[in-house]
Amino acid sequence: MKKDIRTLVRRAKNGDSEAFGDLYEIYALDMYKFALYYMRNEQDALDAVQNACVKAYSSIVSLKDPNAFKSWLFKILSNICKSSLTSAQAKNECKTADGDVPVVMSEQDGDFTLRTEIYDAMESLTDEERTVVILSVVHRYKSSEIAEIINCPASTVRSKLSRSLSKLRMILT
Amino acid sequence: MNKQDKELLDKIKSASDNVSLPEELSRDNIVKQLDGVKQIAVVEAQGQKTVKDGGGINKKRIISAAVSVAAAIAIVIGIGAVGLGSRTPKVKNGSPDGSNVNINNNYNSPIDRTGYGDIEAIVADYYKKQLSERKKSEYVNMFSLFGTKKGTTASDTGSAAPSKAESVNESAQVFAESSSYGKTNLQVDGVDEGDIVKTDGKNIYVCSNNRIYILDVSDEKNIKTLNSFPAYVNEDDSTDSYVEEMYLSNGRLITVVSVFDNRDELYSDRCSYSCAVRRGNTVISVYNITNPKSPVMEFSYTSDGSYVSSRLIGDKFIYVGQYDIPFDYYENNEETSIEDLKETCVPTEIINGIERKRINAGNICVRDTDNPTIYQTVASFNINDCENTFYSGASLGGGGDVYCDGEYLFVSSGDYFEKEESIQGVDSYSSTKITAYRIDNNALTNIGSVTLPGSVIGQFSMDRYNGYFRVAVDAMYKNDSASYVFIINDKLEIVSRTEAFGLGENMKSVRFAGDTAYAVTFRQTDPLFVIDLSDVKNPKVVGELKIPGFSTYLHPVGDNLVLGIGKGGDENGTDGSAEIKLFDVSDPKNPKCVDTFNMKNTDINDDHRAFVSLGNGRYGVIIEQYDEVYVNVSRVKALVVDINDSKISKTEYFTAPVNDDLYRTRATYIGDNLFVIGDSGVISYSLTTSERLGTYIYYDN
Repeated sequence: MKKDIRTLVRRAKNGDSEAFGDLYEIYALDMYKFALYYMRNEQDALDAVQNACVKAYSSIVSLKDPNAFKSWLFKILSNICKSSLTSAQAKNECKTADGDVPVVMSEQDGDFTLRTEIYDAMESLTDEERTVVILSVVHRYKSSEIAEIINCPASTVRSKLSRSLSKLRMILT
Repeated sequence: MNKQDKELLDKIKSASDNVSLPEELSRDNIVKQLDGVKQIAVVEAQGQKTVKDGGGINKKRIISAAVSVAAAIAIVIGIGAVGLGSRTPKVKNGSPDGSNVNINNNYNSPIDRTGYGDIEAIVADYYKKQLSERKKSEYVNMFSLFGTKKGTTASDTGSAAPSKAESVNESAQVFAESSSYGKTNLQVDGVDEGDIVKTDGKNIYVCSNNRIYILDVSDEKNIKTLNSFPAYVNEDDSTDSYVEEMYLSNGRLITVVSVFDNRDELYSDRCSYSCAVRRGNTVISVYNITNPKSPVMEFSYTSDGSYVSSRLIGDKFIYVGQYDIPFDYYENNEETSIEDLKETCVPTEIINGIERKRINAGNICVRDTDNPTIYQTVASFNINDCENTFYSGASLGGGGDVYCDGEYLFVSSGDYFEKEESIQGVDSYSSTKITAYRIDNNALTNIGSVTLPGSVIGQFSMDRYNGYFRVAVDAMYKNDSASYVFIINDKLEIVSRTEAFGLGENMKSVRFAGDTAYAVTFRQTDPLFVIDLSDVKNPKVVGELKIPGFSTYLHPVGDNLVLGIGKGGDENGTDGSAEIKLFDVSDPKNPKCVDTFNMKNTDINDDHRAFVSLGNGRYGVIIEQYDEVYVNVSRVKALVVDINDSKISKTEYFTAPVNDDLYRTRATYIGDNLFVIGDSGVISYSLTTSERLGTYIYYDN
């Protein structure tokens, strides 16, 4: 039975972690997919989602508009990914001083694989462009929903998306 | 979106088709991780803002909107000495009494007037208090949820119920006038609203890609650009602009442009989770277009802050915006921050590019409110004599939704609490403050405000009729969500309210029509409620109809029918389809759904301005239909329906130009020709034969 998001948010704000769990469940797979595209490997994606949940739960008291839960949650997630990636890259740079490119994805069968080229191409995008592309890919978010998450007009989202895809296409062909 | 982009997105997407959620991220495991996690109040911080003042000096500031409730002082700032006058005594609003709905929230008592110095002091005190509280406890910097254009009153499916034009004091006659060309679908007859497409029956004006296009459609098979010009000229790459909407009236074109600061450094991590909030200005420009080939700019008004809404009543233009006071918690030097804050704590404006100055102190209201962090700014001028009739004012509290009936302007602003509070006898986690301005000659006089429990769901939640102001809110009843309609008199006293209805559901759309209101609430099914407002002391729900799906826009058709557009569904909720429903409300106690038209895999644009009345019982709505298999393949279309004898007698699709965006597409008509207009171009059709006449793409010309 679908639960009312506003009621769940209210309960979560009052310390009901089960209610938060119900909210999380709605977006769990989307969050994981988003983090996978961003972080390029399963372990980092897992960490990012877990961290985002903890941050979200601990600060949900400050969420003013329960109807904005989704965009608020993804804002947290995208920022955690962004700052984690920077530090992960830093770590990797130290390890691969001899020029090896670190393995970027798990090769287990049935698991998430994406051509290295696509990841490399996504590197050329700004953080915001990458976020827009990933949100468009995951769950078919509308430009108005993405606009709420990255906080700019929907038309800017569309033009960013289209520019990002052109950039990607240029690099990939 | 074009085919290549879709293919690329599909390719990227297909990589994650087989991804499943790892066990560590299952709901139960995540809940286990939350064990022992402390919930803490946060200071919300936003990204940096750059303010360019008239002299071109850029200052970086961090904007924050604080969460904690601060006791504030009610003061009306008057014109006068810069020095401090004596503080006026705190004005009480009267505390909400659980058992008594007749609470007077009118704060318009005579108060000693003082100068800007007082508001600077209030804001500085508030900032110091926030700073000292920050030092005491552990704070996590989070994103602020202020700064969204529509304030805090959106419902979660983005359903601001659009309204149709209707006269205030008559029963709803939807298509009373048969016009020979399309007009913007208005909430109140005679009160024009801005839109991205306008026509004067001769030319069609479109805002697209930050340009204004004036199209000559006299030959509907060969549309031509009469003129096109940028809506705003950005001096350099550091700003980005976006034309929100336009008005066309009596040889004048009025544009509303939002200007944002675009620089990458605004999105750096000055604080750990900095949010890319763009701040800037709203610029209103008035052009004389008696000769469309050479428009002449007659007036420009730049307002600090973001755009909320506007109206045009005859020749009187009214603007509503929102300005956040930029609090900077990150400067090392508290003294500098306070000096900066004193400078920026009052919204400013520029007239005709001459100099940036603060809004007149006499027109600013600072009253009992939770925190002095955000203003709603209002302005008005007569488009025939802009500079001489110009007025601007401000009051604390953001701007969410705006209702205007030509005599009054109502601006709503939402607020949320951490625990329930009782407002007007209703326990709630949220409240809405509605500030009322009387539209006087060359002034918008703030006459006070009223606070209601819950939130409004858009401009259609508010209405004024026969001297009473009616508001529908989405609030609570005990532990359930519930809806109410409140009736308020012109002194902003609450006269009465309905009992709670739609328990456990959220309000999705509402439409006031004279003595009746129609409301749709939804959880898994869509009850349509009919509310009798004829006795102002005793409004009551008289009829209810439960059906699947829900409507997000209601449009009265004649006296007996209401057209609802929205989502389709079954007993479990919505199913991805769009649906048009025709309700027979001739017996208010017994509303019936007499016809439906369902479209699978379809989204519908529920902005009321995307709804068009074509005359003769024909109406157009804008939809986007997705391919069943390739869900990234879609096409935006205008759907035209004919209503005859209480039936949807005919439906017809007219496709929009390729790549068009559902929310940036409109349909309008001139004579017998239908124009489907989007971001990339226009397609013309014959309304009599349905034949496509011509396709015109802006960039190719």
